[in-house]
Amino acid sequence: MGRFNEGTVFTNENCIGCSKCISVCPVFGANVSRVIGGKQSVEVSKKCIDCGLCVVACEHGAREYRDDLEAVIRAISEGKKVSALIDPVLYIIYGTKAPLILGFLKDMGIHRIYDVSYGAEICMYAHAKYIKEHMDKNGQCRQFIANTCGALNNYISSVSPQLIKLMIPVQSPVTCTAIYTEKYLKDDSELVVISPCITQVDEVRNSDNGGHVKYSVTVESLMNYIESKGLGERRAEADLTSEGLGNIIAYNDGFIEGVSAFFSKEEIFTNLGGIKDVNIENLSGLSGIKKSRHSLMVTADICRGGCVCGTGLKASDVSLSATLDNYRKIRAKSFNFVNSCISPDEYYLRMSRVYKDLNFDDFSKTLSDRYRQPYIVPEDAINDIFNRMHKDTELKRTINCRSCGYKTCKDLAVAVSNGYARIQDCVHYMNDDLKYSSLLDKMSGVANREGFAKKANEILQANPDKKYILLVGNVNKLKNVNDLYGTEMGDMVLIHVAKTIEGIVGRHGTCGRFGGGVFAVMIEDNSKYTDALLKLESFNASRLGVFFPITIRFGMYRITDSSLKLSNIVNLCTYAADKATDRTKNTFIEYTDIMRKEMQEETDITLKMHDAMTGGEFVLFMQPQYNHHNGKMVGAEALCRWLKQDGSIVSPGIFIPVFEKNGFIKELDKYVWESAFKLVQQWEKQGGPQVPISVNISRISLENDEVISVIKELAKKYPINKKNLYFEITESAYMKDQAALTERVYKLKEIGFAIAMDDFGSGYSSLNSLKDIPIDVLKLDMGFLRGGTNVERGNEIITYMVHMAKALKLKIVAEGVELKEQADFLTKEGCDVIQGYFYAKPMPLTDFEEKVKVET
Amino acid sequence: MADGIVAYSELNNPDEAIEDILKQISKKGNPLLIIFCSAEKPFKMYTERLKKAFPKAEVMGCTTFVSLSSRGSGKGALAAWAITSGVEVSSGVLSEITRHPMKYAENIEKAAKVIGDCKNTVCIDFCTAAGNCEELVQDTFRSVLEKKGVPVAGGTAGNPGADDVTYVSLNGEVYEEAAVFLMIKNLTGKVFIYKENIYKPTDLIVTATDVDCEDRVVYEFDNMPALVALSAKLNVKLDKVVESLVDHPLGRITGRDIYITEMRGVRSDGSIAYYARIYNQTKLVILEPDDIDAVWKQTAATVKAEIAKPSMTYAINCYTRHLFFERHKRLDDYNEFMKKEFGQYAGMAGSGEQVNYEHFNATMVLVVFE
Repeated sequence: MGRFNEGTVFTNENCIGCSKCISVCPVFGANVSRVIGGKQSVEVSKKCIDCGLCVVACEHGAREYRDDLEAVIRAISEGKKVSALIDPVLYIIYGTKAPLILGFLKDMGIHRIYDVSYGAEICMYAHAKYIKEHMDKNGQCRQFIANTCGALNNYISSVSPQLIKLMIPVQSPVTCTAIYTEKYLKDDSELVVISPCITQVDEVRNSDNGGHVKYSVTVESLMNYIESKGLGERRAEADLTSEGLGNIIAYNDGFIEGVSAFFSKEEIFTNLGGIKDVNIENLSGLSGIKKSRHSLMVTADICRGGCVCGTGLKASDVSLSATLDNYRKIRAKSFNFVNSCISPDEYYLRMSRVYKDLNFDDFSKTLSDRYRQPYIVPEDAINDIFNRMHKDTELKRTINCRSCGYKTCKDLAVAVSNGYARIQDCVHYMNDDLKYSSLLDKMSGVANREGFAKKANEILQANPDKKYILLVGNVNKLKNVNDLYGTEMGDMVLIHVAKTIEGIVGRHGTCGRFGGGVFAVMIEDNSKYTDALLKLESFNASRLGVFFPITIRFGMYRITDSSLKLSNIVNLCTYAADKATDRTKNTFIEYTDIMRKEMQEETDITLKMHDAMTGGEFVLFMQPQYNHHNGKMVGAEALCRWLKQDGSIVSPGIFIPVFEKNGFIKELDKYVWESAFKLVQQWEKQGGPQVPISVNISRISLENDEVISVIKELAKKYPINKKNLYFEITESAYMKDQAALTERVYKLKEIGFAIAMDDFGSGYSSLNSLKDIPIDVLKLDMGFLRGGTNVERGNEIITYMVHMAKALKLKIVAEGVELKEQADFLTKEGCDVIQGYFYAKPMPLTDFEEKVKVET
Repeated sequence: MADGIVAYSELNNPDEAIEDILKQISKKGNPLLIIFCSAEKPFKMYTERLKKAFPKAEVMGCTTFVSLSSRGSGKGALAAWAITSGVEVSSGVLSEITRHPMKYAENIEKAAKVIGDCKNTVCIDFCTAAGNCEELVQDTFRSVLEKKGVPVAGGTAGNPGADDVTYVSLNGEVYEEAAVFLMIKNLTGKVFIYKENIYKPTDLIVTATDVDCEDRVVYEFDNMPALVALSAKLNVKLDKVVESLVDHPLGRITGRDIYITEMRGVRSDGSIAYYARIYNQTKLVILEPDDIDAVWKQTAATVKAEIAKPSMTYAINCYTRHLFFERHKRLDDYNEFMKKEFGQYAGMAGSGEQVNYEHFNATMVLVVFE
């Protein structure tokens, strides 16, 4: 059996999931909200009691029911004897048309027609008899419940079994009629009930009713069939009918009136109306009824107004005025017998005589307890659901608007928990989720920059007594992952990282992804919570098929000053993160006072750099180079110095890294080159002594071909003897695209300038670069000779480097030479040129020019 | 201190086995309570004989996959845990547990009333396995005992022959659909309940998005058919999912605790049935085996911190734990660990455990008496 729509009532394809059925349904969990093929729908579950309220309530024609019309037609066609039980509602609704309908039934092949009003009177009498025999036994809670409504019976049996003991154990009017025809009229036909009630289909199958009626067909179903076939002209009357109060049971308080007629007016009989929770309480006499004056008998119908408003009627046939008119006529006749009795006791006595031959045990019924205790959903499960629905305040959890069909938000949460509803059924959740979605990083599901800032600020404001750490980090070598495994895998890695961080942070903070591989975390500064992150060596993505560890370089800041803007703190963390050098594991660099000073310095430099350039504060200093054999000056390196207006000097060790970071280095390079070109041209024009000079090309300038065009332009603008100027390429340039670098060096040489490799041996250069890049001069860094424990080994290395350079026919310049012994050793080994403090520090241009005049 | 004896018999002949047990228990004197477990076939006979031999004792039992004790353990064995002094005890039954155990909540009230002041009291219950009813039973216990501060430690009976046909018994009566319970008050010391989990979370989390709570079936995780979702999460083919999940149950995350849920089987529509209820929209983490020795160390340390000298301990185990230890050849170590740390102990291994009014799997619940 399937999960849904297998019972009497089912959902068809017209359903749009409006949830109205849920709001009218008396049973929790009977309607289940689902998405089928992308379409929202509310399906009927096994819990449905087939009351049919949803069929009537549905405005989209999405609820239907199954009855036995086809089975009846088939049975008759197979030659079976089928008799019909007609609900008295037929006469109330159809009035003078009723005999034609009965005629149609006869034409169909129905054997006999029995008016249920007859059985209703047996039922009423049996109820009265039971009450009279038991009325003192229930003690203080003196209240009996009439068995008139099949849907009510289903409800009590399945949902409120504590009321079973109050139910009067007598079969329904339909079943009483069926039993009478079977046992007392000896009619062995199969019986079909024509009923205004969808639940009747369920009732005939219910074993509590003894199986006396085999089929149930609704009035609606029959009338539709008649419409399709055409109503004939044959008229017929029921083979068994009643003249008494059994004819009024279909109308509102009809059954109540029928039973109360056997009792004095002092006894209270109450019809509680339609089934809703409050009426269930009333049914058990617990509230709304004074203990001293309980109703002797109560009834409640699923359908307000009684069976004339039944779920199985054809709505278009029901006319209020005609119904009332018919009812008035029927009612007037029905009370004739009762009114002829002088008292209820006499009425009871006379009816007893009418029924003296009946064994009322035949008409007894016990309602089964079919109750299944509902699960108590734990509070943490409810909280989880509320949190997923962004219902993070008491107010949001008690909106109770009912647009989802449930009375309260908690009811919806319980329904979601049980799988009866979806969080998307909540219109407030959908609204909030739209807002939240704009705060979410769509790829990873964690907060985006805006969402993170919002959440982080909320947490800080809500927890003024707690301390938090903010971390901002960038995934190392993300490009490698993308290059090796594809960007889709790269995205999956980022999602994995996001989920891992989210899992670690939990309820103790928040996290977000700012884009690319940049993540932010704010977490309560308590080792219980932070250790899991701070001790995490790497993110293991092997399950995704990425077999090297994914690491992040985090910068972190302990938030002590709540007035500091979050965006500023993020910047501080980003600054600290960049200090990390180890990419093989997660690093957590805390922002320090030193970094603050650095940042301030950096900011200061950046603010002043443009004005410094226009104000001529950047000047060339020259450091001479010497042939140690003869002590003659043979060249110089042009170096940039920043001499501020106030006379202070900014060291290149400070401003060069800042300019490389902010890109200004390219402007400085151009300025220095142009200054060098101008200088060389000036010296050439002056005709005096001159030595060739070198200028540096920063690694940033080397990253694109603009360097070629700039130098070409300068060569054109300042025609000079190209032997008097050459360019130095810093060793760190070799870290990146060596092929592109090689290409650019070739182009510079094509212009006519020699190229020197600067700082060879200090760090990143490789012998491969030496092989491929067409340099002319090798400048050796003298770090090998500066102290340490392995000076001898350093000397050996120098020796071989020099020999190698010589073999490659490169001119060798040793820089950073400070001592005579160093100069002697280097010269002995074959170095052509010495540069360093041994001979001269970098000096202002005027001093250099003076020195050149003297020494050359 | 609660005093008693653990009796154990591996004799194949049930008549001989029960005689052996009766002899062992009798040596200690007349017990106030006996909790026993055995295989299904002789269970009724054991129930009747134990009650007949000790008519004044509260005798509760269940069928089990494995009977455990400080004197030995084995499938088909009979293990009995009897307390002879130092406790007060009452008992009761909840019937119709697959449908409406709350109807019998007053039996719990009555049993609690017999105890009176419920300090240092624990309720141990066994329930039968059919009908996915453990949660209903625990809800019923919670409705009465939570406000009295009485913790409940429960186990679902087991039966290697047919895991849905199990029995419990109380005072000579055998039940096929019931929860039987003993309320035990330690008159001379504390009672401590501990839940041991041999798994730890991985970073793989799924969310149940379409469930049938009553049938304990998950149709969808993360809005995908359940099997497909797990296959994607584990990065294995569909037909390898079940195999991949051996030793990798799911854990329901609730606050700081994890309640384990074992897979029962994959249904033909790709949905997955479990041995415990999974709520919709619940986050579940795929678990992996923890460092067993570290876990045992933690268990011992935690219990000892509360109860330095355990006198009597009852262990409610899960059969899947037993299989896990068998697979990883740690069964002997487990038995040694229990013997060493928990004094006289006995236990059962069924298909579910309950504590904190929650039902879960693959866990060991220890009830330790000072």
